[in-house]
Amino acid sequence: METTKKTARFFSRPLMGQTIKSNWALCLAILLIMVLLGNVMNYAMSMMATEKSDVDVTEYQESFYTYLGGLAAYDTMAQQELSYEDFAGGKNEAAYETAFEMLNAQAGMDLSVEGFQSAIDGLSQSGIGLEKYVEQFEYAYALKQSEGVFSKEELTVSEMLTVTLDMMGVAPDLVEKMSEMDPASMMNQMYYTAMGLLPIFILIVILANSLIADQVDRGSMAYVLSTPTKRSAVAVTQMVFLLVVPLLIIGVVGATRIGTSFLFYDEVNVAGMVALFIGMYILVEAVCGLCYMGSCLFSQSKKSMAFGGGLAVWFFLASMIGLFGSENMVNTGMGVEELSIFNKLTLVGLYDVDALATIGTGSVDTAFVWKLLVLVAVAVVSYAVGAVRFSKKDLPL
Amino acid sequence: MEDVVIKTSGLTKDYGKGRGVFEIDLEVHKGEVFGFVGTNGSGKTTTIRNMMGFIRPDRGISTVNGLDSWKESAVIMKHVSYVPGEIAFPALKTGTEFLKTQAKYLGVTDFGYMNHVIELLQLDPTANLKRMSKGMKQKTAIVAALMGEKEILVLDEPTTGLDPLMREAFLGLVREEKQKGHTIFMSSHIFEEIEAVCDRVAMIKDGRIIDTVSLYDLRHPAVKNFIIEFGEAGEKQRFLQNTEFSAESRDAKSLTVQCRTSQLDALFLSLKDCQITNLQEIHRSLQQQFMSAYKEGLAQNGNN
Repeated sequence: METTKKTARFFSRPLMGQTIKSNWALCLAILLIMVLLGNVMNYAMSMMATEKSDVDVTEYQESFYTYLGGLAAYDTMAQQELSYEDFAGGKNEAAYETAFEMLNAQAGMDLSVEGFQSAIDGLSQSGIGLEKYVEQFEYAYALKQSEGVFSKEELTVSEMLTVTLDMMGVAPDLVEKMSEMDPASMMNQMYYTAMGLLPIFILIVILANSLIADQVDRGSMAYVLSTPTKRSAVAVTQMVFLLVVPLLIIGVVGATRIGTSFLFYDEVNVAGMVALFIGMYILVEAVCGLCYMGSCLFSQSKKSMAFGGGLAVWFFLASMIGLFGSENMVNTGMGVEELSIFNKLTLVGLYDVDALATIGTGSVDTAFVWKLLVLVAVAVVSYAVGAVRFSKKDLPL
Repeated sequence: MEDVVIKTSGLTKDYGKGRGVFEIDLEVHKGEVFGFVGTNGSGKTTTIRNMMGFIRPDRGISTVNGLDSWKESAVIMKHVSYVPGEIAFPALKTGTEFLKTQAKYLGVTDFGYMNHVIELLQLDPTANLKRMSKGMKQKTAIVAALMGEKEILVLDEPTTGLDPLMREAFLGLVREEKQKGHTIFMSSHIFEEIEAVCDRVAMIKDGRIIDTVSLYDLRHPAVKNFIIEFGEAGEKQRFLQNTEFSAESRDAKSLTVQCRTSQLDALFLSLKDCQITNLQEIHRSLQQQFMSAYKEGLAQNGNN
């Protein structure tokens, strides 16, 4: 016989070629979706970050209010109509200089036109319009020293607001927490544990099913196994494909996301992002391993699909619901803490985004380590069980 | 025996509720074309799957070239080509792509024989795999199996979907393979084609071998049956009374008679003085043989 082909024991190049040829289009489509999703998300987050400035303006606000208070006192005293608006117009500087001088002399203050201007400049960094501050001042000034008819206690603007919100059924501390919430962390959580996972979950469910169970079910596996190719070679080859494809996809998505981050932000925590994507890969492989195991255990495509797809959908849904139990969502009033139990019912819950994001910063939270190790163990065990079972079971070919 | 290529002994795979195969004993010799006939669901494919090592027998063993089908299946596949009963191709675009991939699996680099088979079957392999008709798919599967030029061919209903002309061309290919000394094991439920190419035939019913016949014996039976028509009813009566052969009256003028080949002379001698209008040998076809074996419902293992 002239065809003295060696028996393929652990890897079959023709099978790998065949698998790539049959699946590259799908993989590419999912890759494009994921790259798009990741980078649009990145862009949106960078927009959000610039809208709300983190600059501390308390000092400027205080000084601005002092000036306004001074002006108000002067106006009533000297029958003048000086105001911030008028000052910003810039035509009447001399009048202000006189006003400030007089105030300085009367109350021993240290006011000046330059000081007013610098307070205005400092306060405008907040991103909130100065007229808003002026308006707030108006309320505060009007209520000054007035007290409740019954309680005889001082009335303040913030207290009024609290009471009003209470009447509307909104817990006042919620509003306070809302201002404390971290939108970047929430968006991260949403991207890494829900939206970003969906496309690749769909991909691995389809791939894992079509690489083994579907071929056994339809019978096309017969053309592979009726050649000198061991079943272990089939199992390992398909496993390699399932290990490499998510690695490539997540690698490319991660690389482009880090790349665009340099465009959108001044400062990029590369180590943290790399850690997040490595964690994502481990999570995806754990789910992928389970799908592969289902594909190897069942000889019917629909059963394997129900197993792998069912698990993936459950993981995704539970993670989505769990998101509404996360601290951020609870703070915004969109979630309830009790829902966070769902994070314990999904493998995605073992992907600790917040802890991973601390890598590359000063204080690293190592809570992610054992969680990722559990995911690795799930992946290793399910891949091994699947491959061994496939090598030993009856195949209807 | 030295030249046994495929052998099953006591092969049993029980799927419950009477389905499966039971105590299958087969021996296929080198260079032989072995037919395997049975009704739908009688266990042909299950037996073949056992031979190919796709499923593990509950009891008994199947060997190819002396190697256990289940344990050594990858080694066996160096010598065996297989056409599955159910044709489903991998998700590749065209027939050419599929055949090329298959060649890589098999390590085939010389496409001469493959092209010969393609030509014989008038196959256009450039067609889209998914849009192929059943017959074209079948042809593609046959080409994929034959191109390895291996010495053992296992074909599970290889002619389904082929038109009569192509079936003839395929049978020609089988004869070609036989001439090369290759061993062929083919299942079918079409008796004519089995009769046309096979040397021996095993019949399976409800998972048990009910009969194994040599087609040589079928074509050259030791006992022949004739229909004899006499010119007159009286002559027939006379013959019936005098003859030592077992004869049975059919109608007024004709009868059937059973006769061993060694006694043919004596039969013709006794007919010498009669006026015969018709003499016809009753040919026992494979189908009739199968039907009679089937009706008897013999559960015996007639492996000769």
